[in-house]
Amino acid sequence: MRQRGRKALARPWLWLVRLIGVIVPCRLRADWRQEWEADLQYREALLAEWDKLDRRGKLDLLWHSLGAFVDALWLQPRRLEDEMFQDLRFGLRMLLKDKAFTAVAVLTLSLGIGANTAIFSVVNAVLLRPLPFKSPQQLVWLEESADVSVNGPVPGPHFLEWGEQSRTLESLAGYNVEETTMTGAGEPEWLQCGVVTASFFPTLGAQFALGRNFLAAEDRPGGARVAVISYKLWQRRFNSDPNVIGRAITLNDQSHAIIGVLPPEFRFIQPLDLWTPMALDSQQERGNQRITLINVIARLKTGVSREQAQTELADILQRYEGAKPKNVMSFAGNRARVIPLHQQLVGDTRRLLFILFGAVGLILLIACANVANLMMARAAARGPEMAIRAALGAGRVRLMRQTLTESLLLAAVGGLCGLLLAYGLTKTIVSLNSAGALGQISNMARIGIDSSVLLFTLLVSLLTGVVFGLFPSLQTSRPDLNASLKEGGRGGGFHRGRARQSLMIAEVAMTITLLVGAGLLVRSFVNLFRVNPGFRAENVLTARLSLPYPRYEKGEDRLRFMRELLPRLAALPGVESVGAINHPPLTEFNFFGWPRVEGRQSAAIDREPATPIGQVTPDYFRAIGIPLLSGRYFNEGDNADAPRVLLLNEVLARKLFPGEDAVGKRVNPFGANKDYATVVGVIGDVRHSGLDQAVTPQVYIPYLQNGGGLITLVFHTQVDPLGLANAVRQQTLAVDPNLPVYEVMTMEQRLSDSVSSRRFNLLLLGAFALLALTLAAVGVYGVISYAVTRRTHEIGVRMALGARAADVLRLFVRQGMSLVAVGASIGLLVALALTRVMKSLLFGVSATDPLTFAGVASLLALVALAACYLPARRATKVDPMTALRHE
Amino acid sequence: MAKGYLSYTMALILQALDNGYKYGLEVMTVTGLASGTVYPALRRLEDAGYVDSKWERQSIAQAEQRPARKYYEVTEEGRDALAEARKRFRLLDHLEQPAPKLKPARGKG
Repeated sequence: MRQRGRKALARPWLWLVRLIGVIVPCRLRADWRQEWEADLQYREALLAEWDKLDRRGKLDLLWHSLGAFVDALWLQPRRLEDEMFQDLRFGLRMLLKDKAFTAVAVLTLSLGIGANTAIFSVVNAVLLRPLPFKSPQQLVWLEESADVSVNGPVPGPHFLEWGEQSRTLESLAGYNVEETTMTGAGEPEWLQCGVVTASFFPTLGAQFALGRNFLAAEDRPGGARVAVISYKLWQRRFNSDPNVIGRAITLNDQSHAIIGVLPPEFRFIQPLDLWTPMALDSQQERGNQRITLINVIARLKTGVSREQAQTELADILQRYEGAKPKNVMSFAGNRARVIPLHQQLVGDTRRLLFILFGAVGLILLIACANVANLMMARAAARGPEMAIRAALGAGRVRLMRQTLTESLLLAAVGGLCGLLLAYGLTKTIVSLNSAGALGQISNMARIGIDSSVLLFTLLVSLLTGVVFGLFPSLQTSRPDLNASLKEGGRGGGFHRGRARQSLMIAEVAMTITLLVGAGLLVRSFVNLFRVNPGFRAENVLTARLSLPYPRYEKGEDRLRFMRELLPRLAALPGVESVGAINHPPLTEFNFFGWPRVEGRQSAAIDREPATPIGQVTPDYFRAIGIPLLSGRYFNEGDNADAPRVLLLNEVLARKLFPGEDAVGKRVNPFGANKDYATVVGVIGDVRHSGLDQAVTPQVYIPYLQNGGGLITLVFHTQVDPLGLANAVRQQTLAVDPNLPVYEVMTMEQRLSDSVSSRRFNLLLLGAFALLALTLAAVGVYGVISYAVTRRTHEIGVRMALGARAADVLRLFVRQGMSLVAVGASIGLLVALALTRVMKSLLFGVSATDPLTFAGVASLLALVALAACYLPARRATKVDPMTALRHE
Repeated sequence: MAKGYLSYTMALILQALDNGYKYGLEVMTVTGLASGTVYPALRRLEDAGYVDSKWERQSIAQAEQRPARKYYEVTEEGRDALAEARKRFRLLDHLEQPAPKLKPARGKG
């Protein structure tokens, strides 16, 4: 043996293997060393036998022993595996042992992670995922910003010029939407029809499920009448008939041949039922006989930047407008704008999503703070355990890893539950969004949980686990052995208490920030319903008709129809009064003019905004409850044979005749300085475009003197308005069997729809704020409750020395509330800085509304008081004798 | 290591074992691979269930006056994997059979 030992000294390779063996996991070490030693000794023996154990041989042996290092490195994962497995098993056991703690922690985390995952799934679908079209980054939206005409859509002649001259655009397409009536097989149906150029589908790169795109020849005036239908319409009206191509359908009384069916996944800005060619008439558009305003999309050529395209399009406009004859309507002030399609469709949704994402981010932080607090309380309780483990030789890293493993385990379970929660929450958001609160893009974005959302959840869970686990793990890994073992389980000192208190302050601060945001939205919503809409919403039913043009082209045909229909409807049981208008409140205006007062010189038409003109039947104002301020309403006598009359709303009357009585004055509502009509009355203002919108000037003229084809029937009923829907439908079909009645809804429904996006914001942010408040309350409760437990002994001493229950109660409530006060002050300051981003979501309240700030602060104070009071009361119930014995 | 796919090195080592070279040094000598390659490969083959290992009886080692060796043996599963790998790596066929030149060393010790 002695000889062998001496020999070993001269054999560095064996020492090397022994040294390297240190990094091999203990479990495998002996085995490993033996194998390597055997290997090297044998090698050595061979070399010796061949008389080659010279310097080169020795180097060779050393070289081979280095292989042991590689081998040992390969074994490293096993060490981790083993100890990790141990940690996991132990962690799981500890979590199962303390079920209440685990349940609260998992619930808290899953709420935080769930809310984040849900909002991220929206952000992902709306902002991150590309549009579902071919090379979507090349798609742009073209519009004109104008001094004069409507801001946005492009006038027909400009569209034509761009199409003919542009070198930067690969293709250019027009897209408008019209309503159309489909008749023929079955009940007549009212459909949303896209009116597009033949280049529309190719520009987006859309494929067809069946059939083909429009031909250029079909996209010209007088071209063949053809239509492309949606997959849904194909299923619904044609039973998915594979031979549908070539079949005829009747749209607005004209026969169209179906030439194509789009695939189910095709979506553009809004859900449409079918598409027909736009067939722009170049001569009419350029000759000022008819100007179509077109929504335009385009595809940039590869390598062309947005700025280049914008410059080129602007040049084309300038050349065209400059060379135009004087008698043609000028759009000289218009500037071309090229906007990435994605950006245009996302619009204001981006800001809303950032706010929501910020809100859920705060919730996650609050959840982390809560769980970190819980873990620290538990760590304090487990102080002796950790001390014993450290005393037995567990290293700092080992102890930290144990705590971190537990927190990651919690985060993983929380993340899994959060994912389930997010699944439900995402569904809720999608159904809440049905009215389009998330903007135009939400029709194209499929909001749901996909792989990137899963990845996000995984990352957030991991990060969460590390964030809330790090605090306690740093603490537990540095146990003060002496103190901990001596103190015998009471654990904790001033230092530990301070970390928990800071977490609580942060929690309160974040909660109050969220609460202020939600509070401002609540105030906005309340303000909204305080606004007088100017019309009656209760017991009012509305139903729309659109008289197809060829059949009802002549005014007298439309009048005959209305004269027959209205008495039938008025006679229905439960109908108090019935009227009709072209655009009732809360719908889009569809008829405009430029009122001209007799004897006054006015600016050119294209220098001032148009005024909407309502065409109403005599009983309309009574049916919808718009009050008469002076003069008279229309009556049956104001027909085509009588002198022309009109009504003004108050705003317009004041604008046209400031300080005068408008009644009796003469005005031409359409914009000509002739054929004046007499103002017979002034009626109340209506918030036409929504409760949060300003009142628009409006003119009303008698339907009987100039009635159009778009009609909304308005009923004031004595019974439940929706109960009348079927009777209205039947009466209309009795007069014209080919006329569908659509959008049958009450005025209350319309009002409710008009605030749906505000409601969406309010519900989400409100829910998040409540969630934060609950979590914060749990946090405050936890901290105070922990303090009470820790100071039981002290309470005993105090009470033994004569402190009353009220004193003890005050002690803890004061301690808790002073922390809450600090947190609340910080939170209010932060809110003051942050609520500014919400300005566009507010109505009738400033972003720094003192009432909201004060209200939110008192709400939080109340909740925090309750959360302090409960554990503090427990302190008063302490029996001094028991408490003094409490060690 | 993913089951069912053997890299060339792994296949080579497996083939060497199958040819009757039974422990690390032999495998290294015959394949010409470095120790830092062979041992980790053996561990992974063992994890995958392609080879079994057992220690030589202490008495034999003592009789030969050398440390005990760890012997590796190809399992059924390993043989299947090797057969599959041979289809891909034709070169394996040329690996030499146990050569007598290694034997005397064991005899003398």
